[in-house]
Amino acid sequence: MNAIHLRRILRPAAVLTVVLGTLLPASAAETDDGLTLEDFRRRVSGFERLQSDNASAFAFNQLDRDNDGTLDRREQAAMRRGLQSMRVADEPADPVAGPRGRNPMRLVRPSERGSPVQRSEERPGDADWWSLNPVTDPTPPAAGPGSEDRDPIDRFIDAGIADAGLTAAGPADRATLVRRVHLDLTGLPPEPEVVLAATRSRRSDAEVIADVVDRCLDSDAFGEHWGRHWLDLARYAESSGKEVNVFYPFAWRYRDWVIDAINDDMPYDDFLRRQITGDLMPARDDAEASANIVATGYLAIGPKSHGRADVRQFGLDVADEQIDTLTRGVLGITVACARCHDHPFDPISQDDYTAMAGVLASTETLFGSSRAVQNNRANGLAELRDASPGSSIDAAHHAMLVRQVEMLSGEGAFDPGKQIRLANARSTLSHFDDRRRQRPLAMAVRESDPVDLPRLDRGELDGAAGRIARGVPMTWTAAGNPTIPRRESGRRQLADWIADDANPLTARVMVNRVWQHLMGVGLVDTPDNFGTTGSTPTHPELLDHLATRFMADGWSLKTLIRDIVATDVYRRATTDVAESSAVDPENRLRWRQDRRRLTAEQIHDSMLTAAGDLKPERPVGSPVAALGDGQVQRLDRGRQMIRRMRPRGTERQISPERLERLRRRNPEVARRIEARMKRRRDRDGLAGSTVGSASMMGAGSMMRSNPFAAAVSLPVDPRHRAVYNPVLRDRPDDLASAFHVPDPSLVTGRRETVVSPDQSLWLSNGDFAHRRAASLADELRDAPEHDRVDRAYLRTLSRLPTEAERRRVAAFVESSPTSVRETWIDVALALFSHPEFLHRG
Amino acid sequence: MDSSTPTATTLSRRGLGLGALALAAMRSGPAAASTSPGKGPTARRVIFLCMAGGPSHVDTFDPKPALRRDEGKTVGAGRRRGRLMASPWKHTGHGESGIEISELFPGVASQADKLCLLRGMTARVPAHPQAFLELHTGTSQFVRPSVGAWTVYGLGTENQNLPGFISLAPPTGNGGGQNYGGGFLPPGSGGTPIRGRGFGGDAGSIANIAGPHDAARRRRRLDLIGDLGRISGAGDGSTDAVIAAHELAFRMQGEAAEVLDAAAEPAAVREAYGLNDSATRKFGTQCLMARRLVESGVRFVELHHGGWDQHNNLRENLAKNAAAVDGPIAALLRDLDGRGLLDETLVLWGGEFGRTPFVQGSDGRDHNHRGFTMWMAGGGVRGGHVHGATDQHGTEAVEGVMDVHDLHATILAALGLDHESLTFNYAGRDFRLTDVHGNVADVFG
Repeated sequence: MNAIHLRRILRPAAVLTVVLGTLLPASAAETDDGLTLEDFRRRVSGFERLQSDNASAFAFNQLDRDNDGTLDRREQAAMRRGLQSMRVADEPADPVAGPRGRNPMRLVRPSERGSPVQRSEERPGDADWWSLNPVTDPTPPAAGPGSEDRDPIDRFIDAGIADAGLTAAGPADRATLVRRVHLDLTGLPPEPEVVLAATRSRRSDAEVIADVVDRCLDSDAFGEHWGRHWLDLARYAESSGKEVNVFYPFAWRYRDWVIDAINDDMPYDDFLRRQITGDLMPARDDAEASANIVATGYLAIGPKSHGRADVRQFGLDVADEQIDTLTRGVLGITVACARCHDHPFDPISQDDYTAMAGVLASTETLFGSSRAVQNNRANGLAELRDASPGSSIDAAHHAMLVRQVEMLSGEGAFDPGKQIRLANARSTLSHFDDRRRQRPLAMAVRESDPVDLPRLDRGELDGAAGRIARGVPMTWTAAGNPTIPRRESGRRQLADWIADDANPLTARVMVNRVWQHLMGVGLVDTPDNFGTTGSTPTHPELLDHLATRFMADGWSLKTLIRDIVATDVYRRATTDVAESSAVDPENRLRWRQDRRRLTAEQIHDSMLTAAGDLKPERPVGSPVAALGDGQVQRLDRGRQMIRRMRPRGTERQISPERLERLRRRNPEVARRIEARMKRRRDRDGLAGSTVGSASMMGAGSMMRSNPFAAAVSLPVDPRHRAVYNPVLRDRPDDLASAFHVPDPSLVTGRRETVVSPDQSLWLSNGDFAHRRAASLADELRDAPEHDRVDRAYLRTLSRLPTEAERRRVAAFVESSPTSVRETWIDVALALFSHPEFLHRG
Repeated sequence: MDSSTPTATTLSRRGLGLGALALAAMRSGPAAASTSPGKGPTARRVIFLCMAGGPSHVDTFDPKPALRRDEGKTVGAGRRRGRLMASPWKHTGHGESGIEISELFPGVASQADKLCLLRGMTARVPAHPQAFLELHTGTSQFVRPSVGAWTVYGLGTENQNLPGFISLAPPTGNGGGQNYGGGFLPPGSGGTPIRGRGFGGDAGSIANIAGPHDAARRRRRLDLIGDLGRISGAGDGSTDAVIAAHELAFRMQGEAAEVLDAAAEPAAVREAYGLNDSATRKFGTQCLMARRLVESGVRFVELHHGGWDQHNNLRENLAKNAAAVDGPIAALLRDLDGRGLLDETLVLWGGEFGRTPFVQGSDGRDHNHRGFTMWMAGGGVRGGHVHGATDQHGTEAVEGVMDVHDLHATILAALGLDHESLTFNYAGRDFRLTDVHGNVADVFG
């Protein structure tokens, strides 16, 4: 976009319908003069181009090079021209996507005529790679005498252990098992009563644990925990990330859909199909049709460059991101590597990629957001006929938005800052119904006007030649490439191909993920990479057995989990067996269970449970919903505003460092300040913690009383499960930073669970930990004195303390120089930092 | 393998062990990192003085006498067409090298013989968000680790009580956390942001570095955790790892508070860094923190000063910006030198692009990504040296042309790392900071 072009647009426009960017999408692509592609060719040698998976990205970026002119150029041009009349129109914004228009992706292709070129039959890489061969149903090894009914899973594992001459660890004790099952299945520790009942029961281990397993599988907590695993693969977040980073205030619907689907034990093939093509699937009623549309949010919530001026570049990038997420998350293979050239390692050709990209280029991704300066890419959302209402905003907040629109639209002068605010306020208002509840809208996809993409030589647009018919990668297409009707995008066929029993990857990849979540490490320890650069399975037959069994059981996740959890291999103790660890220190043969660090969410939720603070019900919507449209950066204004709004004098906040120094120099003053801070903490109840910053004391009440603050802050009730915390890209909250929650722009099938000092700091100094410790301490203080240590252990470690532990805690309590309450706060904090609390054994 | 168990690997991820791993991997590769004898790259740490917004090169470090001669003339074609505006500031030669620097930077100019000016810098696009992200990660297209994270991944950290990469007062826009993120690199490689109350003399803090309880109380609690942990988990690797991490955090809390305490510096040093002047206090505090941090073994420190985007009010605002950073930067260079740290600390100054020699409005300049200046000092780079040049008006780089990949390759080279060998395997292939690009500039020795 450039000034000349803008002039052409603006001359006849006395009043624009929306701010600045409005006219960009259709016209931006035409402003490209193409000459910069020459620069690109000169700069990158042929060899390098082949080597680089960024080559096409680079080429496409060249288009932005001269017509990029985001804020400054257009803003300046507009100012120079004195466009006093340039303002947002008076009619309210409509967040619902309009009727389908011409697909801008048509612009990628020089000509729409002619028949598609034949896809290259040559396959790069190793087409005979193990993971691409059909799934088999191996016969399990014979079981020893007297154990004929042993589960095949155990027989496969036992055979491996026996072959290596190792000895397996014995079963874990009941209390350990109860905690393990609870944490693995629901992400929450068991309540003390559950532990006590299980350990005191006279029934067999198998029966007792089976009961616990059933209750866990039936609880809503199951979907919240396993849903989170899926959300890691779906790179779930509530903002776009990248250079502009705008809010996605409707993303939470997808999160809730995932949790519900997993709780309903929706068959996995169906689960996938709905996320790819839910909008095209038959539904019994409006509620189901709406849920199916929400499911396609999977394709829409990815990271995006909203600053892109070139609509073709944007469209190809979105398709690329969708392909990457889909193929790595579901198929464990990196098809996106073939964007500019044949896959360097795996049997995926560039034509395969182009065929698949054509399907997604023929699909319109609806992500919403408001078109304003810097956000060149915005569109509508899908309207749901029958869906639960979203979060509501209060009357004061609503009135403030209305007033903002009134004030700003009355101003004549052109000011980009005000125009952004006006566009966002207007668009945000349009999200809410007359009861101020978020309207039933969703991020989704829908069919677009279908196009085939050309083979982009080296990924360059001007190297476009012929066209590749939409389709699926041919490598594993036993039945040949499906025929895609001329008027369809091909998403239906793509989903059918992925969710097919004959696809060798889909079931294998998923059972491996489930195995990993239950056993610590997958049978293939590169869960997102089943390609030739990934690992090979430690137990290939077991992997196929599980895949076959999974499909035979109707792709039921709950059945698969129940079966694995019932095995001996799952129930083994974590204890070392010297002769086995000498031979197999990494436990690849699964001769014992591995102890492993809990995830950030498990630790957060375990602390809430131990403190008795957990609000088990699902919050309505997300705090991001109330913020509406705009850039994430806006939250900085919130921080400043809170600083300014703080009454002078008594309420001045003091930085922790200062307080620390003050303590050294003047303990009395420090003590008084601390007491004051504590009084405020108590008064404010839950502090509104703002993502990306330390929680702010007093912010809670301020947020509630000031609508201006409500528009720029993210009040989170930390008593809900962590899966419901807002997730903004490039702005991890305290918990996520400390525990290295992976970047929500990346597909992550396996989280790192290293132990590091930032976690210790969070546990020792963080506001969340101190609040939970205070709740637990209050409860312990109310208990009879002799019962306190037992109760503390049951709540945190899900077991009774040993004599030695009782004595050590008692000694601590006796010698503690602080008050009784503060002493028990220390005990609670110590138990939250206990290695056993942070691990699942 | 249980990724949480072994004490050694877990903790070494944050320490030298990791760097050693990366180095070992590199050395086994075909193009092993070479350490050339004699003068050459000697940096062990980096301080990046990041000037967000695109500082005007023709008004600061790339004087153009031809602009005065051709003032008011309209030159160029298409989008590169504009009316030339001479720099309102005088440029004079400084030091033995006689490098010409604008009167806006008298302090930095007094250190001219330490500077290696990169006058042939280019960026890919003249748009802040993309260019800023590319300056930090090499790409705005994909989510990738930042240059600081690659540095920590390659070399590990020298002080296990502090993070290896610290970003002071990082901006939250233009890619936000991605600019100091670790991306797919192992945890601990990414930067730790330190935000404060605008760095107004108070250094700000690492998340949760301090809490409501004093050290004695925390110590008592830590002893309790240690004892209870050992009672139930004696001999278990994961127990030891957790307790070790808690102990480290305890020490870090002490050390970080000390390192970040500007009050601990003598009055003369505080004065030199400009902490007593409201105009220089913010950036002066950052500079002082940077010195204290690198002195304590932090590998990569990034500082930020924003507002270099002079589309208008060039005369007033560029002068104001220069005044805010000039004294502190000069003090930093002098201080590092005085402590013998400069040879092993690479200091880098600059923004995401430069500005046009053409006027915008009556008193502004537009974005110019085709040629601008950054500079390096210390770390084995040639002092009093000019590398590269723009054309007569400063429109386009014509000599010693460098893009961000070249810059990154050169930074890594200063640290003894070969940008082609420093790789990380992710999603099935080896990634580099410089992708398939990058040439090390001839600026050493």
